[in-house]
Amino acid sequence: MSDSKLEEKIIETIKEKRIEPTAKWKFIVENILIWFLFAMLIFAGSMIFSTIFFTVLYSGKSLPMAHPGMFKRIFFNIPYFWIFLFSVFLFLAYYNFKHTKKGYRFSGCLIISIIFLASILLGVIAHGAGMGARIEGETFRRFPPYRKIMEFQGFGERASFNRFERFERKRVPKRIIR
Amino acid sequence: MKKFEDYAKKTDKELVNLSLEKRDHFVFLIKRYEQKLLRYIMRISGLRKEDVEDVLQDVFIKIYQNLNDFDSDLKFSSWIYRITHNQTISNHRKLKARPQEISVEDDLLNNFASELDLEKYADDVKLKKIVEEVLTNLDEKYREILVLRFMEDQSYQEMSDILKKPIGTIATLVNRAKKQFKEEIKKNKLKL
Repeated sequence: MSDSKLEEKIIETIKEKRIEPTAKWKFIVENILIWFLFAMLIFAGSMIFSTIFFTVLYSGKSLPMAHPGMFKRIFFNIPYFWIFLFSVFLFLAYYNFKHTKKGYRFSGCLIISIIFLASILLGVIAHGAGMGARIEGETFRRFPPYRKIMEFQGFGERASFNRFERFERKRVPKRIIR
Repeated sequence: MKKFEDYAKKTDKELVNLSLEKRDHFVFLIKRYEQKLLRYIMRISGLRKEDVEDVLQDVFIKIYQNLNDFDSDLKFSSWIYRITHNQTISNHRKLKARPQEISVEDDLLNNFASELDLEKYADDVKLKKIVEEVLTNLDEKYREILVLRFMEDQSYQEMSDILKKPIGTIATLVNRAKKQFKEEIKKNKLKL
């Protein structure tokens, strides 16, 4: 096939197979969906981070005496479940961002750092609004595997309730002052 | 339809818009890029000319289908090189073809050799043979980097847009590719 025939063949194929350019709106919608999904993943990540804040800040004192050592205290205080979940969302958000039109221009470290910081910032706000406590409480009540993990870490139903109580006590005076 | 010369002065972006209005205008974009892309496909895949033309046909059909997705922030050439790269890799994997020998044109040889510091070793004839042999046997990811940089004369920014990698990663890959290229020469104990 000579080169001059190539373009004719291509145009012929396009005509024969009735190939049309994909409509612009489809690309726009696809792009919007990718960014919407990214925003949702950041939102979910920040909710999880608010739960991490809550479990770390309000769990320490309720540890049973069976774990007196410092390392044991730390070990049993780490919210593994939420950290794992956050890692999953962090990865999904990273993967999603990389698939935006210009996502490839940024390094992996920069993208992860930005997602991480955004999640912390929004997570702190969500924690202040009591989201972390609510999510943790609901998950404890409605998700038996999570309850088992918490029980293994030394947080039974009573400890969970106490943690929520402490959080609420700290919040109520602020509300009264306002 | 106007003559080809009337369209030669038009920018890529204008030709894209014209092609979207009337598909026959797409022929001018094909004419503008077919030789460049044909050479590029041959250089990264080492396929035979007949196979390359099949790939090129798929490439232009894909370009036509995605004309509305062309982002004017990018250079049009970077965008079509990206589509060509992806389509070539995809077809190449389907064919599971081993690359034929990559050929390096004489006018590109000096450019290639000076960047890789090979001039001191041999005369042009030997050098050409060596460059082609090493390039053919190089890892695919390094071969495409060297081809884009030294044979297609693409900037780091353009390579970043074609391969969809950050510029920093491109710079690292260029350095590694150059290093591997030099090591291959030593490893094979090629007589320069």
